[in-house]
Amino acid sequence: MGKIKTKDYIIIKVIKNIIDIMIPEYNNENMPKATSAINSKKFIKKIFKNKKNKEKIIYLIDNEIINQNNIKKVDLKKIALKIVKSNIIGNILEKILLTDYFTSNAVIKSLNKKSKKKLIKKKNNQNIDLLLRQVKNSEVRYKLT
Amino acid sequence: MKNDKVDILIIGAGASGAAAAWNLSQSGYSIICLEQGPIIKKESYSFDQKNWELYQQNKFNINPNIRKLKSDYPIDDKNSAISVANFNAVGGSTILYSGHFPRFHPSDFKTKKLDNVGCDWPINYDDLEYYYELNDKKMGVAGHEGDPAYPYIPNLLPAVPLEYMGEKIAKGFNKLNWHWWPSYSGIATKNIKGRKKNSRSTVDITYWPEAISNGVELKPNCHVQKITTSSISGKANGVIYIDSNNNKKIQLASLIIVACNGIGTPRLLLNSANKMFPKGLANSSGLVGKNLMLHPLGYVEGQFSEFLGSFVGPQGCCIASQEFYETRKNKEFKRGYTIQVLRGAGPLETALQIKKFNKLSFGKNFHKQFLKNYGHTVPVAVICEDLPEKSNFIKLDHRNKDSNGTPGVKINYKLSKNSKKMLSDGLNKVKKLMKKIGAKSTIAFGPVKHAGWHLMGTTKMGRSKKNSVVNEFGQTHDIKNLVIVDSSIFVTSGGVNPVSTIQALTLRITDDIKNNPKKYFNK
Repeated sequence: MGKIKTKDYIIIKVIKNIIDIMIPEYNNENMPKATSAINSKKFIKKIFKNKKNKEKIIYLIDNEIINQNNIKKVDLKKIALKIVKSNIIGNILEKILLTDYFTSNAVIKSLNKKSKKKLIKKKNNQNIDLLLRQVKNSEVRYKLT
Repeated sequence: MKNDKVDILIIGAGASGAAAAWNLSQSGYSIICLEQGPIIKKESYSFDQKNWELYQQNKFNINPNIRKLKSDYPIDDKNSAISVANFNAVGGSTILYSGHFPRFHPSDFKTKKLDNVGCDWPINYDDLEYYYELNDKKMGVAGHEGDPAYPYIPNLLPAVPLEYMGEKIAKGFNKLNWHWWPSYSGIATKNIKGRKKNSRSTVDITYWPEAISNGVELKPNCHVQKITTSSISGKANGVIYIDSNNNKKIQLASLIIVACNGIGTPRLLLNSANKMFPKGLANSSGLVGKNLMLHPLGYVEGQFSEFLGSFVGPQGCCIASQEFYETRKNKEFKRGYTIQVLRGAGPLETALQIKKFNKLSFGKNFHKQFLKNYGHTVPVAVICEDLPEKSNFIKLDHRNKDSNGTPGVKINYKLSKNSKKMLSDGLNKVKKLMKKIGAKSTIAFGPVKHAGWHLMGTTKMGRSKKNSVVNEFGQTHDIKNLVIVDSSIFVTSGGVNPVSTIQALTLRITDDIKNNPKKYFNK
């Protein structure tokens, strides 16, 4: 029982590390890393809904930890990086990860703030009649029947 | 189980069913409307809602084959270049539409006379003008007066702001000396009683509340399987439907109005075949389900170095150009298209799109790549006029049935040579526009597969029983108390979104029912 708990914990930790490698923090633009934006528990639950994907992920992680003498001292970040580099897991996680990340409160808030700031600097709301003057002065464009 | 007989039964509570219910509700008739979908709470489909992009992926997906809700029916589109997009609920497809609300042009009703293609409608723009205005008022349509591409359109709400991206593109149109105009938009750009400012004009909040308060009984989650006819008179006398508790019921009516769109309406008529009408109801011409028109859509996306905030503003409602709408001399195709400037995608759609085109990789460059695209793209659609072809049709699919056991639909649809040339011309013109406004790169393709919003022509209108299904008032030639009001009665498709014309036609038809009841009623 204890072993299973430890293994589950490791799997969750590795997945969290994996998604943070896939979407890291970007301080320049105030964008959070994946685990800061999304609910990791719900994310893993969604991923594991697909049994085949669940088996694949567990197999990949198992493969990496099987040769470790002390499971508690395993470098999970290193394992996560190795798995990401194998290019298998990205395909399994990407759609749900992108969906959860880009619909999260943290990301939407950050993007909105940034956009407002950038747009405020640009000239906007030019007089519409002025813009339309050329078109308005053109001839009728529709055919009479 | 039989319900009490009513004067008028409307099937479908979308754009046309709602307008019909409202207009007839003022005339003292007993009216029931049966809608196969549910009532959707306004809050759950607001485009302002945080998770609208997420919902678009599943339960509010535009494709019924992906949504697979209980109210949806299967549509086999393997033999079609374009997939159907719709929504089945009170409000119909207006629940998910962008609100782009242009009218047809005068020439759209006379393509045979003017350009020797398609067919002429038995009515013209002038016949609908009053109803366009009435509908604009009821729905709430924003725009700018004085558009040289149309006869004068009055009483519009203030136009939707172009925003920074729109202004940039407008300048590009001006440089090319091409027509452009702020989009006619079904959006409440000022405070209207009973509506939130900037809400889209969906019929569940425009027409339905008044129709219901005038006494129309709206029954959601009621799926009509067949229209029944009298074995003696051959007139329609009611429908068989499955109610929300899965009970089979009969509703009798003196007059039946079908408002199920260009796919649902022929499906129902064909599925109602009986001994007297073995080819389906109203199908003596053999044209029920034929002449399907879907508006082939081209898509061009310009990528800009500058941040344009292109996602700011209501989706689909920015600018429309009618520069290439009419037939031009020395062109290899007849008729034309609208150039519709859309808005940039939200964050999720941006990410999924650029991932698809291998422009987004996970890891340290993830955010840089995303931010290089988000708000930096200008999407433009080319809406091509689709001409009627008998070889484009729908038929019943007895192998794929809906949750109530009613056959689904199979679509056969190919782009004509005319449409292909038109589409190619449109894509090239928009690429030219993108270049003019400084796009660093452009992608262009068409027809867009998942863009079959506009479902037209499958029970066409005409004067003769031989080559049309309904007359100019939507009354079927074969059964006088069976009337169709949706876009299936369109003769040609125009090159603009059809909802404004669908509703104007509905108001005209229902006015005729009110004014000349003897023509219609089975009493």
